[in-house]
Amino acid sequence: MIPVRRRTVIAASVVTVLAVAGGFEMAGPRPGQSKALRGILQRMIGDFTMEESAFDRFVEDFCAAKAHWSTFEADALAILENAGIIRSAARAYPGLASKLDQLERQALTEFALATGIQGPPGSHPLAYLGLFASGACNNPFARLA
Amino acid sequence: MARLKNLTPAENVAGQHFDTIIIGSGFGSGFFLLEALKHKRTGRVLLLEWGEIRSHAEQMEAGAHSAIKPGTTYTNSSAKPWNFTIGFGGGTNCWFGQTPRFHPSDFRLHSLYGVGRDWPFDYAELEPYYCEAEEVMAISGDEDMAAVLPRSRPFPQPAHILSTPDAMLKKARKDMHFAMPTARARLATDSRPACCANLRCTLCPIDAKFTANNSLTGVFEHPSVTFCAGARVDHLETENGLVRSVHFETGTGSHTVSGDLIVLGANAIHSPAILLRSGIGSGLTGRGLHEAYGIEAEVMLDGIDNFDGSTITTGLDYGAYDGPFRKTSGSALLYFENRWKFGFRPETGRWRQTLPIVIVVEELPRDGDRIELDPNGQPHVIGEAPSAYARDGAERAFNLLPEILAALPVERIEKRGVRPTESHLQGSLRMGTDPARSVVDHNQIHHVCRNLAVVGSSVFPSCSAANPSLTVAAMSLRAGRSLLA
Ligand SMILES: Cc1cc2nc3c(=O)[nH]c(=O)nc-3n(C[C@H](O)[C@H](O)[C@H](O)COP(=O)(O)OP(=O)(O)OC[C@H]3O[C@@H](n4cnc5c(N)ncnc54)[C@H](O)[C@@H]3O)c2cc1C
Ligand code: SF4
Repeated sequence: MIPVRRRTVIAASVVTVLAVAGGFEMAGPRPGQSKALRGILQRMIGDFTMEESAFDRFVEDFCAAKAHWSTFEADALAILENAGIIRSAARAYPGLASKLDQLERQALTEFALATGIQGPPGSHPLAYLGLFASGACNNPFARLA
Repeated sequence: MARLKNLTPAENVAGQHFDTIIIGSGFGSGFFLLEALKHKRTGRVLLLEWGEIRSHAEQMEAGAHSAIKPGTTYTNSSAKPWNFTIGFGGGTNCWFGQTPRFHPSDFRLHSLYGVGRDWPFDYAELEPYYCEAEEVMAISGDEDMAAVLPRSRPFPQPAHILSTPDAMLKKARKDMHFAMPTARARLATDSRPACCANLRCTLCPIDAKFTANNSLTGVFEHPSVTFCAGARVDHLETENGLVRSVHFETGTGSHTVSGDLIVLGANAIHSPAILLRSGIGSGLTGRGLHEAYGIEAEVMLDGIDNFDGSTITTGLDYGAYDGPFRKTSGSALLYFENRWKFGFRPETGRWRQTLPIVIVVEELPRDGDRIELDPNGQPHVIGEAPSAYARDGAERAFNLLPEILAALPVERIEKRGVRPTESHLQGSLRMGTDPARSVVDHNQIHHVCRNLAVVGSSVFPSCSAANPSLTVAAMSLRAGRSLLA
């Protein structure tokens, strides 16, 4: 458990980083991002089982595809997530809340499409099938006839 | 680099004379050429294209339509970016294939509402050409649309399958809410597979939307046509009020060709730049550059899922399009998205209960928004932020959403911000009957140089909320026929 004062300091400095960040493209996953994305996804869909190497490939592809997430932003969000204070920080800083909301929804969407789940994953292991955008005619929802 | 059969090095044409010289190979030029080749008077044609010829496979491989980034071809001190493709096919490469016609009122904006400008012809005049352009692109659409946009022929292809929210709205608003008319094939054609809702149409992985590459190469390769790629037109030279020669640059130097009829279709930034470098025309050259203004909304649905339609945008709604409000605020067209633009919803069991809507609003062209030449002779774009007219139109349309969406179970509607650009640059060489107030006449012939035709969206005198390219195509067919038949 991180003491309240330290939590505030971490959150404030990370939010400052977010405020000045911009323009840096993220090339592949950075330390802490895999853990952070797993944490975010678990919060959204519950526990899931996936081989570590497959999940790392997902994170790598996700980060490469979402290049508009600057390195600073992604790192900052990962730090907050991994410190377990992202929700409280988001409540305190509206700018962070909207970034977190975007990240959460993007991560959920890409992960669901890349694993083929359409709801909570249950206990069976998930396979990584590649990002939606790397395939063609793989829209699981479209009615074509 | 992909090739056309008639691709010819610039050195081989330098110094030659052609009956017709066409500049650019995008929507305006491509459809003009298609029509021109039906008429003897067109004679020998030279086509000068700045960019390279990149096949669909090469574009997929490179992840880009062209090696030339649009932003490197002009400088910009306007409030927004301007987006286009420099390369064989121009905007046919990067477009999304949305093809609504303009509304009859768009052609009479000033007569009806006292703002903007009238066009020198009306909807009825353009209607047969709309049908022909739709045929060429195998447009899919909803026959009910004739209630708003009268039509003399059925759509060449059936409508795309509506998403669930679109189907509910269609049932409740039959004459206002329609399946999106589109050049994303509903059924496979000879050269395109059916669209399967990959949702990244700017570079469609399966080549389902109409492009010059997949549907017009036969036109560009016609035996009467000589095609030069990598040929950037710099300026035109005039003599006694007529354009006599075209000067262009390639990797190997500067070249000159002469022609009887010159057709300028270099897009709404580069066409005026060529005329400015040539010293052709009045102070209106380059003035009035504009595009529609767009905002986004997200509708949180209660209990129904989205994304089950058969293409990226499945619905179009005219509930905020026309009426006396246009005296003070812009007309708006509502695009219903069959894609997860903002991601799935986070709540368990409700992932697909979201409906993104794009609200596109007409803008009033202002002469101060313009293209000038920078000290290097390259285009410099100057422009102010979107007008109050456009912003009010967007606000009005947003506020109408609860009424328009009454047939849907709506939990809440959220604004999602202003779109940086609609990618619809237009209006910088406007058309009109009065040479003192326009650059080209009702047949797109330059008021001063009578052997110079201007094609493409640069000639639009006003800004519809609807996407421009079908109208560009129809106008080019009309201009070609009126000039050459
Ligand atoms: C991302 C994106 C999405 C779009 N989606 C849609 C859509 O869904 N529906 C729609 O209606 N419209 C859409 N558009 C707009 C559409 O692309 C344009 O309206 C259309 O291309 C305009 O046609 P044009 O003939 O004026 O210009 P273009 O099609 O751009 O053609 C201009 C041609 O001139 C060439 N050229 C330029 N300068 C020179 C020079 N100096 N010398 C020689 N050649 C030159 C260019 O390489 C090009 O071939 C979209 C545009 C973009 C960028
Ligand atoms: S929706 Fe998909 S298949 Fe259809 S045109 Fe767009 S990218 Fe191509």
